[in-house]
Amino acid sequence: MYGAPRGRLPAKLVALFKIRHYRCQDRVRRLAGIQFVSSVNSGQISDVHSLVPVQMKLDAREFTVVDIGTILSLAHLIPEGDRHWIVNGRIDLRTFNEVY
Amino acid sequence: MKDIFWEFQVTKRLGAKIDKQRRELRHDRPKTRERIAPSKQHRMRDAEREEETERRMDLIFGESHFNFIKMHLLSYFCDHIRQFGNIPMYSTEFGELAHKTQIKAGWRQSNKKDASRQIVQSYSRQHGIRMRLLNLESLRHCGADLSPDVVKQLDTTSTTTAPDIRRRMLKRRRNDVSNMADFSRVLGFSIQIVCHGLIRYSRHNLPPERRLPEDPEILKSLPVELLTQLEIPVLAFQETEIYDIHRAR
Repeated sequence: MYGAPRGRLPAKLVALFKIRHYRCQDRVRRLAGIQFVSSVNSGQISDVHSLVPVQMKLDAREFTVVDIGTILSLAHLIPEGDRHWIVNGRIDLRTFNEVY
Repeated sequence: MKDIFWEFQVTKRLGAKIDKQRRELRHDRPKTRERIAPSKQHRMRDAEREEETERRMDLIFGESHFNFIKMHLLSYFCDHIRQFGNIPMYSTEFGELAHKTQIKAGWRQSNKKDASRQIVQSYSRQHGIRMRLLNLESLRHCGADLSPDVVKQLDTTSTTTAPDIRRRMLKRRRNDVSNMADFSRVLGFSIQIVCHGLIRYSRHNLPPERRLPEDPEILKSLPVELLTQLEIPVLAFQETEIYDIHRAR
């Protein structure tokens, strides 16, 4: 699924929220509103840089709700043209944050 | 801190040595300068200057350790990735590890006659078996009917990691949002888009008895809290118990 990312896909975080459903035992859902990017070329690794390119389509859904448990980590996207990025899965984020 | 101190010490020592050399040069100058022609004096001064520069360069490259990597090199990572591909492709670590795990292990398993062929064959056999195990594992995930022996074998050689049970933390609540109308106003989306997203999530992810109401009017009345930070515990690189906290904002 999604090719090389194997079921994982970057997304832009729009909102983090809790919603209380008082009709269902006052249950609280911890949710996130996100905007998915889609993989380019069926998620195949690019020959040029050996990383996965992604893009934000113009008709991408503006607000998709997911459970916060499905968010795995932050992703490092390197801009590559308009609405296109490459997913850098090589430098771990701690090193990146220490440097920049 | 230690490196900075070391650099400081090197610079200090270097300055002292240069001063000493300069003093020596002054003493070595001929005292009969008045008798030499001005053009010759000029040439001599140039020669002295060159000599001093050479001595300085000798001191710099001979005494100090200036061949350490500069921190600003890290700022070129993005350009390097774009230009040459991912950084580990140039790492020698893989080669060293491959020598240890592939070549040495293959050599031990061979009968030491025409060993290179046997090493390659051994490694490709191991690789093939690993691929088959992965294929079987994905078949099991899809619900394929596998024999109990295969399932037992897969359990012992499973490569999938256990799901992370650590909880994500939501922090920094905003006080200006109490219901769905406030929520959509703050985000700048229409309330229909937000409700549609919630209904879609509810249909696809929740069991029927726990679903959110699909009537937009009821949905609008549900209490909502907007937060601005999510802390996600992520296993640190090459660690099994140490977690990094990723803060999504």
